[in-house]
Amino acid sequence: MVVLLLVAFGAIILFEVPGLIHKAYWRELIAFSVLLGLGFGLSLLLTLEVELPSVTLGILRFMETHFEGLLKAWGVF
Amino acid sequence: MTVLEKGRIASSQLVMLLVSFGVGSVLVVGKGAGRDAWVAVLISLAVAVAHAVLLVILFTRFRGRTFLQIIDLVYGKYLGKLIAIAFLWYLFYLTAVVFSEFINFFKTTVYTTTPAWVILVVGLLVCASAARNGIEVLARANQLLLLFYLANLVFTVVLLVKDFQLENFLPVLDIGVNKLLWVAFGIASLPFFEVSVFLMIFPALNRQEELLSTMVKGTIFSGLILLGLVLRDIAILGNLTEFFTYTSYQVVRLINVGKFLTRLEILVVLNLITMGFLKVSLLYYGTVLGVAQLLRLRTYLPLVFPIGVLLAVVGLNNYRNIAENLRFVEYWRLYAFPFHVGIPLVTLLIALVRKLPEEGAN
Repeated sequence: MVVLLLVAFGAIILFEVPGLIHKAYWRELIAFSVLLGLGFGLSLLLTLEVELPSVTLGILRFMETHFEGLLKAWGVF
Repeated sequence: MTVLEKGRIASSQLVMLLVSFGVGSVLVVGKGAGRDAWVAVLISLAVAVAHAVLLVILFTRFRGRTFLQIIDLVYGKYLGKLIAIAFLWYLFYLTAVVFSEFINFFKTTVYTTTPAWVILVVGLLVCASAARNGIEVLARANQLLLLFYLANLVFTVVLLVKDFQLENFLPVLDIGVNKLLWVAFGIASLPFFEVSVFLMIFPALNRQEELLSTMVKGTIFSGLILLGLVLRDIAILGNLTEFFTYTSYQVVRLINVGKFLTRLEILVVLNLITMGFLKVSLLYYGTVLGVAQLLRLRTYLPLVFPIGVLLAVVGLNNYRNIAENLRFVEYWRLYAFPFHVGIPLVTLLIALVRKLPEEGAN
């Protein structure tokens, strides 16, 4: 799986980076590298089956603690 | 600032995009209202038209500027950046949520043994290609796909007419006003208010003076199609619509013409693939374009894949089960409200109070 992930990211880099360097789009290259690096780190953790905190569950918990009572009182739950 | 998107689309294409976008997330429309879901659709449609008009008023007031430039102008440099980031977060997260919704659907109905990440990667690659090609290609692809979708829809409705039971609609309105309004709020949030993403796409319209009529037309058409779908489902299932996670899928499954034309639910899957592709691609494109504008890049293309990877991560690491998914859908309307209604509305109000844009500054 990790090998597959490396191949995929290698392909993305090979696809994008030469063109960016050729056109001297440094700002774009930095944005690309930072975002892709973040994506690589996170997807590597997912592949290694590390438990990442889920944004959705975080939002769900937050909404439940703050609004559940209100919505029950309003009669919609 | 350089123009990030050179493509131009016609008014009719924008209408079609709006329709596809509206019917794209038909998976969960009207849950909670049972046989009165159609009333909720009508209420939410009225609100949706008002919201569409709000977006157009905001955009035309600052003619020639992108939404992020408008935010910058209205809130100033620092607060503007913050609000732009909030709006882009909403777009990004919405893309991930909608995408994982579709993956859940495919995973529970047709591709039951395929690992989720395979569906996700394949789907994202197609959407990434669409986003890279820009709005013009998306709009043209949509012309074909929407035709296919509508033909499909008419076909299933015709085959189901013989099974319609009109007493399924009775009694009308016995769920209480609060509940009805809550469901209408839900339908308004998903899909209607999500058209906020079109704020990123408005500059691509070739005849800006037709923007208002285009938005109103698109919203009403997509609302009418949703209404038709909900009416069909209720006519077949009545209050039973509540018991199925994917109502449309269940309804079309019941088609049986002489024990020969059966198992047509694959048509629903096809419809969701095409419209889902459109919806995710549009949101994806809007997000990428927005991030590129925020970072003042000269092209948005290099951001497509990195943001796609992040979408995949958020989409895969989402809810653990369908119960959490449904609860999240209930709360989504509250969570998303500040983003898709709050930000445009407050921006317009502040612009009115500050009398922006100043005359001659354009």
